[in-house]
Order: sequence, then C-alpha cells, then structure tokens
Amino acid sequence: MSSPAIVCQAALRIELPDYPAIVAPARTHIVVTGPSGTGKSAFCLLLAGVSDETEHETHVRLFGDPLNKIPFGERARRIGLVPSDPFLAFTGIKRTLLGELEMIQRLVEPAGGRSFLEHVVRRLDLADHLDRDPFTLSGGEAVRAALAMALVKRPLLLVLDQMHEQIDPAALPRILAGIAELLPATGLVFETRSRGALSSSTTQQGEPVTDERGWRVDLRSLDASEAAPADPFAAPLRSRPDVEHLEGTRPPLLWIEGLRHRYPSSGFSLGPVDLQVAAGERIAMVGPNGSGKSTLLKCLALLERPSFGRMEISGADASIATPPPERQAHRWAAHALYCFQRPEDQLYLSSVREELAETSRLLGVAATSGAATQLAQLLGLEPYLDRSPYDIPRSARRLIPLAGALAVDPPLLLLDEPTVGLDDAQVACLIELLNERRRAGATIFISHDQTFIAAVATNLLDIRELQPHQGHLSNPD
Amino acid sequence: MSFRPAVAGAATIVSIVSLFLLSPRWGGIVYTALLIVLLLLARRGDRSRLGPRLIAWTAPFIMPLIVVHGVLNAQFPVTSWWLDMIPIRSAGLTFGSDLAVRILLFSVVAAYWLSVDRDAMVEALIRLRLPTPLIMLAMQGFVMGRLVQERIQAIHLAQRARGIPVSASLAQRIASMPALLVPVVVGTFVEAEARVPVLLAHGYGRLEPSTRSARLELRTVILGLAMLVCLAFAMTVDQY
Repeated sequence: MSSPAIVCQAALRIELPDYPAIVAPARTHIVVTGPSGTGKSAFCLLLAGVSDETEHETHVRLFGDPLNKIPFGERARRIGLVPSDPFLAFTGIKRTLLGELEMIQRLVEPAGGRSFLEHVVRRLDLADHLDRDPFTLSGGEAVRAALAMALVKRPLLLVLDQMHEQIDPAALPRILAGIAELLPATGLVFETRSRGALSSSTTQQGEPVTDERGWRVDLRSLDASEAAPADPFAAPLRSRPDVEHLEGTRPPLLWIEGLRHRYPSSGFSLGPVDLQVAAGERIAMVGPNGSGKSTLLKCLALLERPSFGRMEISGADASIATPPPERQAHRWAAHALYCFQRPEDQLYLSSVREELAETSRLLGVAATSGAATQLAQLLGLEPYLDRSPYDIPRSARRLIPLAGALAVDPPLLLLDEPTVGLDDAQVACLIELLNERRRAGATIFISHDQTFIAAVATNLLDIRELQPHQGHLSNPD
Repeated sequence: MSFRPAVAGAATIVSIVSLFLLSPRWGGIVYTALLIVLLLLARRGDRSRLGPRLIAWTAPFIMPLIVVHGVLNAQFPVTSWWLDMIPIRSAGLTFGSDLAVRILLFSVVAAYWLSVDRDAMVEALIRLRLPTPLIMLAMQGFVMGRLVQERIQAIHLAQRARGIPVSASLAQRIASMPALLVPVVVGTFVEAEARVPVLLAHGYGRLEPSTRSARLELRTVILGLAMLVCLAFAMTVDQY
C-alpha cells in the first residue's frame, strides 16, 4: 500500500498532559533525551499505537489523524517501532532473518515490495546475515535487523527506542543516512536516548525543550547528516597520568597464548589471540558489531570453552590460576568475573539487598559483603534495596549485577556494554567506581560509548588488530 | 527427516480420536496400528533423533507402569508366578501395557511435531488462508518453546558466570535449581509481556480496527502459552 499523500504543517503533533508538547513537520528527526525510569519506552509504545493507555491516543495526531481514529492494521503500516531490546522485534516463527522480513512485508504489503526489501537490506549492510537465525545475531547486528523490520514497511513515522547506544558509533552516520533515504518523502523519526542529546554541531530547529522529567526535546532535519565521530581515544589516553605510570612497570595479571574459538553453527572463528594484561589496566575492547568482542570476553570468563596454549591469571598473593575443568568452571568466576548485559538472567532472590550480597557470598568474599550495599548507595540503588529486583526500573536493575561484581573486586572484571540503558548520572557513578577499582585488578570492557571509554580506559584493544604472537597489547600510539 | 505439518497434524487428529473418542477396544486397535505406522514412517531416513528421544521420554514411565500394575497392584488378581517368587497379574499387565502404548503414541506424535520445520509450518498455515493473528497464535507453541530453551541456556551461563555451580555435581546442581528456574519463569513472563506490543506494532495483531479486547486476547493467549511452556520446562529441566 502506498503512503497517504497528506502534506500538512504538523506531520506529528503530541499534546499529552504532563508531557512536553511536540509539533513537528515532515522530514523531522525528533530526539528525546532523558534520565532512566522516566517513561521514555512507554512513550514510544504510545506513539506506536500499541500502548495500554488508549485514552492518551486522542492527544497524538499523525498527519492530522488522531491515533485512536487510525485502524489498527493501518497503524502498523504507518508506524514502525524499534524496541530498546532489538531481539523483541523477532517473532521466531521463521528460521531466518529473511523469513522475518518477508513476513512483515506480507502483512503490510508496502509499496516497492521485494525490490524495496532488497534495498533496505543493502542499505543496512544486512546481506550477509539474511540466512541467519536472527536470535544468533550480535547486539549491533540485531539492532540493524530490527531496524530493517520496521523500515521494510516504509512507515511514515519511525519510533526508535534507545537504539543509538547499541550501535558502533562509526556506523551510526551511515545508518541514520540510510533511515533518511528509506523513509517516504513525508516520513519522520522519533527517537529516545538515555544519554547524549544531539550535539551542538547538529542542525536544530528552534531551542531544545526541557521539562520537569528531565526530558530534553531536540528537533532537527531528518536530512541533516550526522557527523562521523572524531577519534576520542588517543588524546585523552595519552594525557592520563595513570596510563604513563602503568606502562611497562607491572607483571601481567592475565596471560593468554594461542586462544582460539569457533562457533560450529555460524562458522565464526576467533583467534589465535595472544594477550597480556597488567594489573591496574582498564582495557576498552572496540570494533565493529559482530567482530567477536563478546565472544572473546566470554572465552576469558570460560563461558565459551576456547582452546588455548596458555591461559593464566595471577592473584594478588602471587598465586597462578589456570582454567578448571568444565564441571568446576563456576570457580573461575573468583578470578574472572563477567557481567552480562541482561540483568534478568541472574536475578532470582526476593530483594535487591540479597541480590547485591549474593555474588560475594557465592565467591566467598566475606570481607566485602557490606561493600555491595555501599556501592548500591553510590549507584543510587538505595531506595530499592528492600524491593524485588523485578519491581524496579530496568536501568536500576542493570546496576545490580554491576554493583555485586564491583563488591567482589575480582582480579579480572569483564563488562559487556555496561552503559547501555543507563543515564548520565548512573554512568558518571560507574566511571568513578571503575576508576577507583583496586590497582591489583584489571578490567576489560566492551562499549560503544566513546565518552565512557575516554573516561575509563587506560588502553584500547581493537579486536580487528588481534594477531598471533602480537605480544602485549597496549595504547595504540 | 523432518515431517510435513500435514503428516504431524493428521497423526495428532487420529491419535486424539482413537485415544479419547473411540471405544476402548476400537481405540486400542486404532492407536496401536497408528503407533506402528508412525514408527515405520519415522524409521525411513530418520534424522530427527526419534529413537533416542522416545527412549528418553518414555522409559522412565513405561517400565515402572508395567511393574507396578503387572506385579505389585493387588487390585489385579495373581494369575501365575515367575520363578515361584514374583507374582504375575495378567489384567494388570494389560492395563499397564495399554497406558504404555498411549504414552508411546503421545511421545511419537510430539517427536513428529518437534521435527516439523518452522518455515514449512507457517507456509502450511498461510496456504490454509488462516488470518494472520491465528497463524501467530498457532505458532506460539513452537516459538515459546524455543525462546524458553534459549533463555535457559543464557541463564545457565549467566549464573555460572557469577559462581553458581550449575554444572557441578548432581547435589550442587539441584541446590542451584532456584537460580535457574526463577529467572526462567519470571524472565519469560517479562519478555512475553514486552514482546506483545512489538508484535502488534509489526502488524501481527488484528487487521480490523483496534479494540482493547483484541489486544487483551492476544496478550492472554501468549501469556497463557508462556505459562504452559514454563511449566513444561520446569518439569523437564533435569538436564541441568
């Protein structure tokens, strides 16, 4: 079905009580930036016309039509939604990403049909992933796939819920340009972000609006190109005194030789990787989506079972730990503690307080059992201590495993995208805590957040540059 | 070998009719014959691990059933003695065998469904010209089972990553069970709840004008299925 040929001054008009009023013409990119837990995701569902709060639908007009007057199937045609968890976009009823995309096209029958689908796939660099099970995609690939599922409908309004935090910043300008190209001529984008309001370099139409929720609303032209990020790493790293202090002065805490891993299902292989990490180092692992960053981190935590020539972690007492057999693999957590992106996979106790102390208890770190509560206070979790972990905002939930791991203070701390879903204040606390971590331990983390990397990392590790027998990986000057 | 949806569907209908609607005598004849046909079909180029699956699923039930009713159940009269020591109760053996064949039949049909290709299933439902929401609901059994299975694997790793002995000795694994089951059950509900609006936004809901009841209907069915799948997984999670 072709897009309705409606042209009016206000393509999108949102006049909800207690929310900032937004009136935007066609070809606008609206960005709402606000703290976690203030209802941004619920707002996205409302705009997509799939919220339970149907009484508010009269206050949202898309090309003049109140949302409640747009038939349900027509809403699905006119509005595309990319959820904050991209894996929620996949239905699983088809085995491959191509099958999922074809199902969407079959449902909404957009203009352009198959050739438009192929165009979307090319523009979002998904051609190599069409035959893959979407649930096996990496985080960044899944975001692009979820975006493709929304764009193949050629929606008039594209709603993006905290998408940009999960995308490799180098790829973001190309993706935003792709969105602008793939949307209809009258299309517009509504995007929420927890962090990183539009920078001053972007073209803004009018002054940004800020309300009592802490939301900042920026409007700019959808066709304004996003500037490629400058290299934020080299200068900040070189200027940090702690980096200079570390260089060549400490023995390795982690020593790996010839680490290899291969996924039989996808054929993806990693390595051989040689790596030495000194105590006190905080290494940011960077690289494009799907390049194997999470795989390497999981191998270091023995969550994937790699083959290796040598893999050792030195303790503070000069003891050397080597990987235990599979049945005792949980003991490795005392040496290399990995924090998952999904907090829901670990939470099972009835209160946040119990959950915070659990990792210390499991790893026998009795001396720091109270440290988790102190960390919780620093991270703003204090109001939630006696509540169920499932009964608090998701951003706060994400902090529970982080606080538990920091309380243990293991020799090697492994963090996978620790800032996704956190707001500025929460990230600032996390930066402070990671920088204060004891100097006998090391941290390796994956992040696409350049501000966070610049504030925390003492070294950069580009996964693409890992070569056999490379030796010590340090600041890439 | 993956079975076509039509074969699995026909097997299901015949087994339901024979198990529940026919008289015990005719039902017994039909479902025994059906079981033989299905096993012979499965034997031809079987790559769906039907044999190992059947043994794993049914052995824990079938042997005790036959022993309990054929030897121990005093409600059935003793008809002979084995080695002058063990009583044999013919009526009990018949009763136990009847139950065993039913379990076998149920397991074979379930194994057939597990081997059905998802894409083939969706295409078959589309060819039947069923409305999309109905197709979506019909497929939720497949989808939910798979999603919960993946969730279990992810949770298994996540809990091991924080030091919970989920892969250690049997006693430790049993003690670790709450750390697996609570996130599986709660997480499945949380995910199902979050998935519904996204599916609706993609157009998988009703294509007629929106009504609150239509949304509730989809939500209720998906959550209900999530509950059933969680229950099934909770009962079969022994592999961990």
